[in-house]
Amino acid sequence: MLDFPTAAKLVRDAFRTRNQRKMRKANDKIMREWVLSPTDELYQLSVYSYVLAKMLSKPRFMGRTYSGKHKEIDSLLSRLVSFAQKNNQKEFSQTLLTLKSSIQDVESSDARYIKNMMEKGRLKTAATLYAQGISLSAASEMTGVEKQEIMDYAGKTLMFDRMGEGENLSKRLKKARKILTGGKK
Amino acid sequence: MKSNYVLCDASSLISLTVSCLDSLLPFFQEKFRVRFLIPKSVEYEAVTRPLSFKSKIHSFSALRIKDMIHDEVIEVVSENAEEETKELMRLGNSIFHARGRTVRLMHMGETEMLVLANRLQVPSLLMDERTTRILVEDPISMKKHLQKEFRANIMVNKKHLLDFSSKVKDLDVIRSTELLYLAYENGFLRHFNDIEKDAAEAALYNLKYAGCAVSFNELKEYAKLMVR
Repeated sequence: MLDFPTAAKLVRDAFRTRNQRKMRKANDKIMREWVLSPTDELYQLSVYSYVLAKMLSKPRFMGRTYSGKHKEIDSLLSRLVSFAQKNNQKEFSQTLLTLKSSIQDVESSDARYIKNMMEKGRLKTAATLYAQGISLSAASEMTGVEKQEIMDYAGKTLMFDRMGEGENLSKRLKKARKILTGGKK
Repeated sequence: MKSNYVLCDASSLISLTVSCLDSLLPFFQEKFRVRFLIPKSVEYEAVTRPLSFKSKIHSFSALRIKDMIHDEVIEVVSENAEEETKELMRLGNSIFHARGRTVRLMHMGETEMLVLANRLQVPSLLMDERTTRILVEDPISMKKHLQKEFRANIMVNKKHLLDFSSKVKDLDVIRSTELLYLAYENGFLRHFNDIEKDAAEAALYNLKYAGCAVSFNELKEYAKLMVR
């Protein structure tokens, strides 16, 4: 079981060391925990850790221009850990909101896509839930991402190749033939 | 049993319209008198809600579905099955457990489809979503999948699994790829002449990329069947 302080620490340490791999691992762990204990705070941490991993992977966001923002994010993540350790839910949630706007500030100065990194983070989180086995509607409801978008993303991944296929194709076609054509070929 | 009726969920309508293959529905309606039904919740999800978005990002798909409803290719059924849906969802969401906690996989949306199929005596579901289909067809493969994903031992509540399975045992789930393949067999793509098979294969891939839960292996199998 991954508690709030540990989850927040994982994100803080990964960002402090500017380690993208570590951030991705933190994101994986938080995601897995969130599926079992779906709280809004874990959801946000999950999305933000994804976005921070993305940020760490892009040289244009890691230059000197953004060093002030990086320090701000470092400090907010440390505060998150501290509030989580003190079990101060109110301040923890408030700090998450500030963290969100700090992350968004980084991208808004150099926006290049219709969908920003935060939205992509939400989409990726929703698609990961679906890939893990959560139903499409549940993934959509838990993240607020439209089904169409999850399907569009999922269709371009290998998620349907990573799981049993259910009934075999010939049986499925036989069944479908009966339903749709009355058995006629 | 209404054997020529098919209850469609939002996922299949989405992949069909996104890949511009929604004309498969009138094809089966006209040629084989198949009747496609959707509950009001699917109409809301696939038509009403997307049409309310300012971005208009999903408007065209929604309008195509709206048009099919207008043309009576798709019929909207009013049926309230809230209590039964909650009960089936409770069962479905208490089958698998990881690290002492319940893995909640199911949602009212898909569960309602299973309940309505039984209630309306329409045992055929058109559904491109993966989780619900696997739970109906092969729940043990879901257990294996969850074990891999959660890197944990998954415990199965056998009683709930049996209860759940007994409630869905008479349902047949098909996907839009099966619809396309059978349409191809029956001349839907004949106007492509000597590239008919290529067109059918490309259309199957189109459905996959639009989100229909089909594996690349299955697409290869379809292609082999076409060669024969």
